[in-house]
Amino acid sequence: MADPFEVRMRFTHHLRQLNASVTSAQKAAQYALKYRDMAEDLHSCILEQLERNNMNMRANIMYFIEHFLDMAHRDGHHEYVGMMQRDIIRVVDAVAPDDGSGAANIKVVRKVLHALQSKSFLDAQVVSQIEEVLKERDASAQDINLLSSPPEASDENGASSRSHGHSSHHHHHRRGAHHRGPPKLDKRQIEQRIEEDRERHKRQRENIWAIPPGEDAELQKLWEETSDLGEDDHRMGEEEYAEWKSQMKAAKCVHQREAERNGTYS
Amino acid sequence: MAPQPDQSPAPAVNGTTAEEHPPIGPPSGLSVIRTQYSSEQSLRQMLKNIGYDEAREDTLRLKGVQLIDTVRQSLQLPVRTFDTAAIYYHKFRMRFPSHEYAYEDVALASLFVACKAEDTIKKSKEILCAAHNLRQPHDHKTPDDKVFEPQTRVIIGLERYILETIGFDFRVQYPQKLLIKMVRKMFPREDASQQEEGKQFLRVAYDMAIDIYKTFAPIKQTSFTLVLAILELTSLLLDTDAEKMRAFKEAASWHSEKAAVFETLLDLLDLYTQFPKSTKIGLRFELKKLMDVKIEINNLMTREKYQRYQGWCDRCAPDPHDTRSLTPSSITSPATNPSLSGTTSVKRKATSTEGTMRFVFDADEARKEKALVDRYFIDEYEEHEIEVEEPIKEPEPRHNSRNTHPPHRGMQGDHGWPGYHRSSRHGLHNDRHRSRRGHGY
Repeated sequence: MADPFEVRMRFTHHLRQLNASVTSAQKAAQYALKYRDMAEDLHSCILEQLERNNMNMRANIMYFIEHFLDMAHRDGHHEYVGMMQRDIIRVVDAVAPDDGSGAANIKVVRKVLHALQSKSFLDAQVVSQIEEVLKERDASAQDINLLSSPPEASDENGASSRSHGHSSHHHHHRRGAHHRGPPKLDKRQIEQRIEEDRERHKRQRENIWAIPPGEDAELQKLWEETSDLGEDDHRMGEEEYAEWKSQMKAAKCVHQREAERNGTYS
Repeated sequence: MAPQPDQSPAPAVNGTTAEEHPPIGPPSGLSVIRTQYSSEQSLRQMLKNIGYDEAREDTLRLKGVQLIDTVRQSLQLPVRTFDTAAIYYHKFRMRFPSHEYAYEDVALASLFVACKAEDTIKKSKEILCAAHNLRQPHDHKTPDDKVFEPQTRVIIGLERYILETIGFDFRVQYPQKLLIKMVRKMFPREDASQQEEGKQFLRVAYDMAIDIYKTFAPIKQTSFTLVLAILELTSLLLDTDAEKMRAFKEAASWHSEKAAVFETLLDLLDLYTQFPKSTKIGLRFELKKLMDVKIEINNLMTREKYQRYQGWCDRCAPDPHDTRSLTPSSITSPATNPSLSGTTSVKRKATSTEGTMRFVFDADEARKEKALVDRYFIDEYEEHEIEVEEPIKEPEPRHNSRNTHPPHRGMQGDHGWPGYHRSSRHGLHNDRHRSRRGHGY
């Protein structure tokens, strides 16, 4: 039933549905793994969507890639990882292009690249090279924001002719002339992006308290990390005890109060 | 005690005319103080009021807490969220009769609220989905599945009742952290040879700390009391060297008292001997061992003349033959406790006669306020006495208070003598506000 056209279409559909939630990423990833004999095809789908959609979408796809490679690696399907390694430059170019329109995505790219490096999907050298390029793009993007006038289609690829990022403040905006940059985001898309970022931040904070799975995991964690008994513990104990005593006292029944008043205790 | 708003046209019936007194009102509404700790006696009374049937309810209690534990583990939530959720679960069940809700709904709603309170937030759908996937692992769903829509609404609805039940007082003990610190004290880090034994001890104690939430102990006791009891019982079960436990024998130096620790010990042992299979420790140790320890503790308590439940009053103990008290809406006079919350059914609607319900944390302030307000609302009799709060009343002949309808406080002068009125003030005829009446908050 694996009609390649249909599979491509379906997968593209999944990619376009990507948002900040983990579920959407999981669905897309599962689909791709299911049809992994068409890995090349589906990989090219990813690249295609990266180059076609707006900046928000591209950021979502970037996050998806991280999640996806995780799952692929876990299941032992290394084709996807390999293809991504090969095409990572293209991906970065799409998500954070040098014309400054990808300014919002530079952090995304950095984060995902570092994550991929730490899982050894990407070479450290490759990552540091890309990092350099990113830095320059970041600076030029700030330029554009500062000057805030429509960028002109000036000379060729500004990234290669630039010296180093820091001196770029008084350089005027560069623009890659080899293609018109992706369209500017409209208000609704900006709001959507804000929402999605918020969602992602919330999930990130989870990692602070989330307990790793495993029988004794939390116990171990607490045993290692908890400090010794201290002043504040005793203070807490005193306060709780005082509160408890007063509540128990207030709860005394009429017989007990009477007995107290009479100096006897029933 | 909330005066009825229809009293606010001045006490015209008492022989004084309305023109002589300016209208009194509006009533100050109800101040509700929830307490963090309840004694065993007030617990029992509360349960009796909602028609708690021990046999059935115990299993529901255990199942609910177990559900909370398994779901929270699958969501990777820390144990303090579990602690909080379990407490909310118990408190809800002490207030609402169990035939009005499904225990799973309340357990998951408690977890939901606890997640918010402990800053480990989870969406209600995620919680429902995790519970579902545990129950039916072959039918794995994702949280955005439409099947969770109706349940999610139930959870949100229950959230309100839970907040009301706890009176917006989110404080909950966190005994596990304290437990670790105390065990560290017993097996100091510097001494490497003891670390293995320390780990073993901790494993048992930690499991016990989860089990303890299946009892009512966490509603009754402070963190230190709970931890001391856990340490004591663990050392008894493992036959730990008495030397190590020496430091913890003196409860008074650990912000607690011996009676409370003993009570908790027996609460735990009751759990282990009655429901061993529903607990972690019960599965780990032989029943015989547990029974032996229980007998030992019982003997110790008899010898040292401790009551089973501290603060227990035999005279207040509800009469087992008192069948009148079994219906949820009945008036029960014993042990109407300041710490009691009203027994309202889940479906009750807020009535306008109550006035505003305010949740108050400071008992003293509330008392002062009430004293002030009562000066205006209290009826005047020749033999007027300062109204002394009598939180727990002797059982009264009920037919008397039954006859004093309508529930105006002594407004109808022809309804008998002041004696009846005074009792009817406490008489708590308007059942739903019963417990809020009898005390001064």
